[in-house]
Amino acid sequence: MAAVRGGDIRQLTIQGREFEVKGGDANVNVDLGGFSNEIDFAGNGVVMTRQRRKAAGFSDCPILIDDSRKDMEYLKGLADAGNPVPVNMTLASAVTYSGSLTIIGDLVKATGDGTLTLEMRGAKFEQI
Amino acid sequence: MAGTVSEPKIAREVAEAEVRRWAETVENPEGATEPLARAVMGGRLAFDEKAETFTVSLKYPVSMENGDTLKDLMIVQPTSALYRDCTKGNREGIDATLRLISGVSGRALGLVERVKKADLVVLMDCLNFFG
Repeated sequence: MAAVRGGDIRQLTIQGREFEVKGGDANVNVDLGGFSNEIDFAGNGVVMTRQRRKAAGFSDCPILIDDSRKDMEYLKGLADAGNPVPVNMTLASAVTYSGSLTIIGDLVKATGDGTLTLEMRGAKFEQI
Repeated sequence: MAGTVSEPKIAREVAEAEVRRWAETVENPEGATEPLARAVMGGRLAFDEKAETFTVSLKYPVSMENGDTLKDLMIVQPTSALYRDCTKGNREGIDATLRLISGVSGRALGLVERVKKADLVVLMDCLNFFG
């Protein structure tokens, strides 16, 4: 098993193009999808479980935007197309997650630190 | 050893001539290396002269966590921008090389890092082939 449990994203590629992910205090949330459970109680105290499917992917990923490479324009093109694209994410532990994901939410660059917080979702985001 | 061939599928002379011919198409005669010829002899290397891409069949396929197996890698000629990106941040040596292989093959870094040394030698020679 990998000894490294956390740390910086070593590589993020979206449709074969590598993006730099901010290091340091960045905390990307990886989600394997599957099901989300909620419980509720009937009047007589019986527990009722509702299970809904949820998308896999990642969120809160701060990408360092390179304007000279037109990173934002590239991501906007993918978002506007709305199609899932191949994504590979290699973590500090060298474990790699891969899936076909779609860009979710607004693409907004913060000019102060030059980052864009990216969220992508799809049917599967699994270790390879 | 890289590209060790017990029962060559292609004769050494034929393999060497083939690699030399490929090298001439990209105008880099020094790209015709012994590891590439050995990989051709073993039937593990093909070059698409029109697209200028290599397909390397791995001697040691890489098993993936999702049950798939990485059996071969396609290598395209790296662009200058990819070269720049892979050597950014004082990256050098094997770290930069692995990133470059990841870039030109479109495979994740974490996957390329699991490729065995014998196959890595051939992949590195494919990169050097272009000059």
